[in-house]
Order: sequence, then C-alpha cells, then structure tokens
Amino acid sequence: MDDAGFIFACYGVTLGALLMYAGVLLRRARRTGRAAKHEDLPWT
Amino acid sequence: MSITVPNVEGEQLHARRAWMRQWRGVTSTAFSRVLGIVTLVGLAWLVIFGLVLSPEDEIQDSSVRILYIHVPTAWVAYLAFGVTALCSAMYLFRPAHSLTWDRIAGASSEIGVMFMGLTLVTGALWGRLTWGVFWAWDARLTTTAFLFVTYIGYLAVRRLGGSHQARARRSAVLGLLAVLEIPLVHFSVRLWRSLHQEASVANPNGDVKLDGLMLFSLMVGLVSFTLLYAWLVLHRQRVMYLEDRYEDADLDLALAQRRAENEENSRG
Amino acid sequence: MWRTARLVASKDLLIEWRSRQVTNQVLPFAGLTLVLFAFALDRDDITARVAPGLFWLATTFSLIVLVQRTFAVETSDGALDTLRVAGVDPAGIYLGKSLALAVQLLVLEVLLVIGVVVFYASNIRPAGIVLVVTAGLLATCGLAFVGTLYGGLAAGAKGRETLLPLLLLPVVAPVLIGATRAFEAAFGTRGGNGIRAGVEIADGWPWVGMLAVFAAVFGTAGVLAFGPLLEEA
Repeated sequence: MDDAGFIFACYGVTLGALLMYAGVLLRRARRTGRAAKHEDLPWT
Repeated sequence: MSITVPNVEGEQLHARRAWMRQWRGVTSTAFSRVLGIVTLVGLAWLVIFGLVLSPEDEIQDSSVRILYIHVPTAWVAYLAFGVTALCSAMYLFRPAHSLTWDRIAGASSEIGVMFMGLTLVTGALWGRLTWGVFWAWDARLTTTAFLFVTYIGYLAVRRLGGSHQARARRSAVLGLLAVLEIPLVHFSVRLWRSLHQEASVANPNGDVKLDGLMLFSLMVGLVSFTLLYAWLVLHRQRVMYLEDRYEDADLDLALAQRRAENEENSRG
Repeated sequence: MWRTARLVASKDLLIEWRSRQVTNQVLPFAGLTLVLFAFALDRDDITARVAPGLFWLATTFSLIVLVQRTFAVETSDGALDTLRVAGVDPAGIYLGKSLALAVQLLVLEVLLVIGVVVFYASNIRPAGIVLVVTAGLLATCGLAFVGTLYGGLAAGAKGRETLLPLLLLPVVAPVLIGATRAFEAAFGTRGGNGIRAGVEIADGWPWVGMLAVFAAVFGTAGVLAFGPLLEEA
C-alpha cells in the first residue's frame, strides 16, 4: 500500500477523534448526572 | 413498640442495581447501548474493509482508501447541519417552543462541526495524494470551509448565556440564517471560479467512480458513520439536558456542603 | 413600520452628526487600511489591478466597526430595551438602523473610491459609472442589512464584541465576491490569474443581479428575525 502513512493518519485521526469525543461525552454525562435521580430522567 | 424488619432482598436488589448503574452511563438506555454496539461493529468492518479487504483503484491506488472515511464524514457533516436547521425551525415555529428541539439542534451542530473539521482534514490529505495540493478554491471545498466557520460561530453564540429559552431563540434564528447564507456562498463561489477557465491542477468535479467491493466499503462507512452520528447526538443531547437541569443544582449542592463544613468547623 | 424606520434612522444619523465618531474615527481607519494594503503588497503594478478587491476589503472591515458603533449607541443606556418595551415595531427599528448604517457606509465608500483612485492610480471608465453606482448601492444595502441583523445578535453585553467579526465575515463573502467582480468590470481591470487582461462592462451585470438577490434575501430575513432577536427573556 503506497502512501500508507497518509492513510493510517486519516483513519487514526478520524476514528481517534471520534472515539475520544465519545469517551469525553460519557464521562461528562457521569459527572453532570451525579445529582440526578435515575427515575427523574425523561429517557428512563 | 414497633419493629422494623430489614428488607434484605430489597436492599440487595437496590445495591446490585446501583452497582450496575455505576458501570452503565447516566445517559444510556437499552436502545442506546444496542446502537453503540452496532456502531462499533460497523466501524470495525469499515477498518477491515477499508484498509485490508478492498482492492486498490487502478488510477488512484491506495488513496481511494481515504475516501472510505472522507465521504462518510462529509455526508454526516451535512446531515448534522440539516438536522440543526430543521430542529431550529421546529423550535421557532411550533407554539410549544420545546427545548428538546433546541438541544438536538445544539448537539447536532457540535457533532457536525467535528465531522466537518475531519472532512476538511481528510479531504486535504486525499487532495495531497491525488492532485498534489492540500487545497483548491472550488465551490464545494470553499462552501465546506465556510460551513465550518459559520457553525463555529453558531456554537459560540450558544455559549452567550442568558435563559435557556433566550439561548434557544438566538441559536434557532442563527441556524436558519445559516441555511440562507450557505447557498449564496456556494453560488457566488461557483460563479467566481467559473471565470478562471484555465485548466487547473485539481479537477474537483471529476468524481471518483467506485464499484464492487470498493462501493461496499464506502457503504459500510456511510452506514456506520451515520449510526455513530445518531449515537453521539443522542448522548450529547441528554448531557445537555443534564447540564441545563442540574448544573445549578450541582452548584447549590457544593455550596451547601461547604456551608455545612464551615458550620462544623466553627462549632467544633 | 416605515414611519418608525424613518424616525430611528434620523435618530441614528443625528447622533452621528453630533458626535462625528464615524467621520473622525472610522473614515481615517478605512483610509489607513488602504495605505497599509499598499505597504503589504509592495508592487505598484499590482495595486491598480487589485484596487476593487482592496476597496471592498477596506469597506468590509469598516463595516464591522460601524456595526459595533451603531449598537453601542443603543446598549450603553439600555435604549434598545426601552424601545422594545415601549412597543415600537422591531421591523421598523431594523429598517431604520439599516438605513442609517447604509448612509454611513455610502459616505465611507465615496471617500474610499477617491482614495483608491488617488493611491492606487486606478481609473474608472466613464462608461462604467452606472455599473459602479448600481453595484455599490446594492452591495451597500446588502452589507447594511446583514450588519444590522448580526449586530442585533452580537451586540451589547460583554463577551459579544469579538463574536461579531466571526459571524459577519462568512456571511459577507458573497457581497465581497460580487461587488469586487462588478467593480473590476467597471474599472476595466482584472486581478488575480484571469486569462483576459481586460474585462467588458457587460460582465459586471450578472454580479449586480447576485448582489440584488443577496440584499433582498437578507433584508427580508432581517425584518422577520429582528423581533425574536430583540426579545431577551
């Protein structure tokens, strides 16, 4: 595979950024939701 | 005299549920968990097909592999902004002015900005491989860049503060104005570039033809990125709900705790 | 609505006439940008060719300052809130402020054109005057409409002043493109790497059409959107 560097960079940056964002999002959910009661949330 | 009988089973069940809840996220539901797993499987497929299983293109060799990422991110970015515009309209024009529309619009715009940034980066890398340049001044690329900057402005406006309804109203108006602005930008840039009729290094209008296994890889990318988008918007929107509702509560809680500490210290 | 617009416009222009802030501060600023462009470009043969672009760049940057000025006038004493509470038609406020802004912009542009002719040694073809005036008027309307609208969004409380350029400049891009091309047609020059050295005046008119569409679209949008924007619950 020529230009392997570019291609791996693409995949790595994209998937890495997205997965990191997802992780940060879940952590933020946990932190902000500390005060919330499980039953009060409209999606449960 | 009354005896309280300890409800052992009930307590055990409660403890187990609490333990489970600690591992599952606050914003998760059964649906979102299934969605997440399917998305991860799809992304894994994408990596396998995109990097390994799909063949090389005759003309472009392996740079076509970048397209399996680039096209889906572009698609999701535009989808996200379409959703933002739609939800902005729903918020403004429905008499209930439900804040849920505003939250979905905001969540979608944040994720859209991220995907748009990734689109620009992956597109630049692909352009470098295919045309030899990182950038070309054509209507599609320029509009993409403008969309990116416009929605960064939108995100900044969302942070201006004030009541939640004020934020929603401001953002919704801005979201709809962006829908007006982008076609104008696109059209004027296209008209502008059509003046430069010399043969350019980059021919952005030459779309790549994909078929067979390559097309399948692209489809896998499109589907899994769309699922990922849905999962991200779902969670982001719920986090926004939590922030709206509980950030004040969190502050009050911290203040109350601090006050209680001070009282104890002064008493003891 | 039109009566309100006229009242608001004359109020803004009167304030400007009395304080002379635009004439004393913004016009020199615009002139300075023209000079700085010449320093930065450092090529006498180019400046005449890019003169239309530099003219509209200077106008666009001055627009930002003008918009901030036009809303600073209101928010310093909470005047906008007072107007709103008094039940004044927000569409009228919008049109009035746009009108005042347009007038100030036109004064600025007239002086800038003189500056461009003087500094950059460009000359307008006599046949192109109609094109220049039409394009200039339509572009100014578009800029005024858009500036007032986004100014209403970004004006006032702290933390908002730096938001205005970020919001405004992407939206203004079509005007920049269209007006520059129209002026190039009128001036008879072509900047950049176009093939033909000369431009026909007729080439400018499609751009004028686009400027008209821009002004119409954002004028309408502004009239509709200014009311909701002013409400700060």
